[in-house]
Amino acid sequence: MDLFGPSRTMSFGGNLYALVIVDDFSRYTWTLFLAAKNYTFHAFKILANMLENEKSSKIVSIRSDHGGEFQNEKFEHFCEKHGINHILSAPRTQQQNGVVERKNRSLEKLARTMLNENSLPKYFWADAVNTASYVLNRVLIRPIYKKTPYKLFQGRRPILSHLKVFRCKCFILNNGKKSLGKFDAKANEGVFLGYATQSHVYRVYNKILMIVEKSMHVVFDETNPKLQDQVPKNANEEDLLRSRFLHQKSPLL
Amino acid sequence: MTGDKTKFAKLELKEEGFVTYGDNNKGRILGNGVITNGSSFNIKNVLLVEGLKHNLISISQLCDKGFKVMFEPNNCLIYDAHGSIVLIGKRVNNIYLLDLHHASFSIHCLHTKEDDTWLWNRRLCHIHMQHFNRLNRKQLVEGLPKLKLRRIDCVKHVKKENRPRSLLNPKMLCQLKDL
Repeated sequence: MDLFGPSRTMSFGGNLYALVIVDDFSRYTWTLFLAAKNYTFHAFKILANMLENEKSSKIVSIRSDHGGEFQNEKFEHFCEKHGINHILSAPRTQQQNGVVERKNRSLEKLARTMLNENSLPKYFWADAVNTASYVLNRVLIRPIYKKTPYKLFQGRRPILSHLKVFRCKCFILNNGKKSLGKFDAKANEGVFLGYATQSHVYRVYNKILMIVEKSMHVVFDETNPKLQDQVPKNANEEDLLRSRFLHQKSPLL
Repeated sequence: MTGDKTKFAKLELKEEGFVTYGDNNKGRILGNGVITNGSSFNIKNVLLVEGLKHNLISISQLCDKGFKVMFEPNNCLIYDAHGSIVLIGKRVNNIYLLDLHHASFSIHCLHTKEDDTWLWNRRLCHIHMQHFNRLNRKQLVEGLPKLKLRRIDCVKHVKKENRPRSLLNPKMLCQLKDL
């Protein structure tokens, strides 16, 4: 596991750091967002408990660098209590923590692309990173096992049919959230920001209410405004015309 | 040329002489002007001729301007210099008729085609298309459409000068030309 940050801009939820935890076998990734480094232990403890419960097995070892957020009394105490082998990489040698460092790089790269693709404000970086790790868990292939991390970790094939384009325009149905007049618009416009980790819902930014909310009742418009300009002009528009107005073949000019 | 003053969008009255018809009768020219159908095109230098009952368009003048005219059994087509159709005339009995008012040839979008391959590329955080194909081929995930992302699909959106040299091998160029 590793921590990256502080990001220059605070995320929408007020976070500056991202704690990246990678499962060494399946390469399943969890990203946790923190407002400060000293919340690392708390976040780790919650996740560790959750995972131990979920898999009904114990965490055997963790690997991190010598960052103050990992090498402290709390961690030491926790590891002692739960019998976890805390492997620290050699000082100033990130190579020994390479799995997670490489994961950081991929996540940052993907998030950067997604933010800049449609010039989204920087404070959505946490959402971009979260979406990136969500997708990577489902899409990457572990070379040795020829399976996705999701399959290795959860034991079933991931389903991708619900994936949407990050930052696409969407319309959020106002289902009884706020009282509406008879002729008020039933949906608010929003921006798609990713997938919630705990429930099967989409995370969307509501442009009218100016909040990030979770909703299932969302309609997406995934057309890419930039790409539409690039689509080459229809070369056979003449043919179209012909077929529309005439119903016969004519010689080429 | 025409005999109807109301057809003109712009008319300059000037007596310039006579037009001689096939039976040696003569029609007096009262002026010339511009005829338009509102938006898509206009015809310049149209003569207003006294007593003319029909509106005639001169093929030779069209050809002088760079248009091409093609007559076919049921219709005639007028192309501009770039080869796209400007006007289509229909043949009624032995005369080819042009209907200027119903001849708006601005292209309407009849159908759109969503580029699914690119959509999935964007949905999956811009993964490599070979990776996408691998996922599909090995059936590692559920819910993916049976698409095949081709390298060529990606290249055709890139400007020619921006394409990496590795993607410009002759085989690929051939495929590009086919698109």
